[in-house]
Amino acid sequence: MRSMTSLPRHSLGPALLILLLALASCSDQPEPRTAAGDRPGDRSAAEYEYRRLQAELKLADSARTYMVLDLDQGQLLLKLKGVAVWESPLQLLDKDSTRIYRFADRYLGEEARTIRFVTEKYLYDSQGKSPDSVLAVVSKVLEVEPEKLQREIPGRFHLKWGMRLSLEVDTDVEGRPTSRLKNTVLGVSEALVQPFEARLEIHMDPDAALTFWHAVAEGMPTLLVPPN
Amino acid sequence: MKRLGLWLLLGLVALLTGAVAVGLLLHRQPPVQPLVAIADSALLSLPDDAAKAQKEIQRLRRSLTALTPKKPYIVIDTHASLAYLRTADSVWFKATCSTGNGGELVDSTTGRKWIFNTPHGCFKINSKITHPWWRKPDWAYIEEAEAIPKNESERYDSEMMGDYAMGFGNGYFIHGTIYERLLGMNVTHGCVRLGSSDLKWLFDRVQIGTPVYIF
Repeated sequence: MRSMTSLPRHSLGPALLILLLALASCSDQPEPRTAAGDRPGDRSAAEYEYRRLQAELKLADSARTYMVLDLDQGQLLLKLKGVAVWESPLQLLDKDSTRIYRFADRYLGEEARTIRFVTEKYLYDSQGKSPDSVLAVVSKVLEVEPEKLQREIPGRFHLKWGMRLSLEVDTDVEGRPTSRLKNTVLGVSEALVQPFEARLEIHMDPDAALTFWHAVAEGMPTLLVPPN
Repeated sequence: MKRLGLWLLLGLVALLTGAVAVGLLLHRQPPVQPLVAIADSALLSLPDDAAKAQKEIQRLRRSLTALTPKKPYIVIDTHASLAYLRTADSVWFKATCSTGNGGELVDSTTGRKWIFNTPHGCFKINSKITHPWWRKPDWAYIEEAEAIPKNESERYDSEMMGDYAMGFGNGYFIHGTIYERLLGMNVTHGCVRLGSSDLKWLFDRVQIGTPVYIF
């Protein structure tokens, strides 16, 4: 009988491989979850991620800023050329997590859409950043309209993506109403359609909202990262 | 009594219908044009083979990650008049700045037109200058209703740009200002102005090639 030391060299490789495989099978570590796993849920999640990544790479190829609604990490991002240029946490006013799933389901739709475009933005009220008197003086010196010298801090606004998808943003800033009549009428019609909408209501820091409101334009592409 | 209730109910329904109709009318907007032409139908499906699929996803993840600079990059937020030096997950520096006022200037004699916007997009720092001199362009004279000097040397101003300037292409700079009280307002002709201490901090840390994202 030959001892282990006298085993021919060519048999050491397979022996090591078997040992490694045996050790791996004894390990308590859970099997790493692969994005393209065999389970049907994994497969559809992987399929969606694959298509979302392609969509984002195409968006990054353009010169436009785009939005990422990351419901998995609870973040709102603006990106340019694939790079994050602005972000804000999604601070939901209603802690009911089913709203997030409802929003994601509606967003994806039957065809698991990766991109939607902002179809509407509406500002209910806002507040000037600088006192009017300062703006008036500077505007006179520079011969530029006062409203061009600063962006207003939004109080409350909403964004929509069609498909009755809505994001309501509140900053707690008490500002001047954009239009009292339109706000009242919209308030009534919004209350009536609310049960049929997939709506997220969030609180946002006023400084963050200043950027978000002004940077988002109708037609802006939006990507959704669904909740896990 | 029953009839009155019915009328009240009908009235309420009519009122609500009217509110919705007015709301829809006020809400009605022309169809929105997507700002980027991209459709879900143009995206490829995941390969059937699980190993291949995994590889493809990882390849795309790597491609996307590679877009974010490894070193810090500058972000100029023209909406909030803020300048940042940041990485993917942390902000190193945040300062109030001033950017383009969006104004328009037309030279009535020649018809030349200028729009004073800060350009949006991705740029790179391509020059770093200490004690920069500003070569006043034609619009600076037209704006002040002054005659454009014939002598080139009369165009130079040693004060206007502060102590440092970082060029990011096409004549645009991040530079200082003698009007620090106007920081936070959109008052420039397209350049990005910073306060003197913020400018020095940024100038000391930025290299030629540092990406500048302006939105």
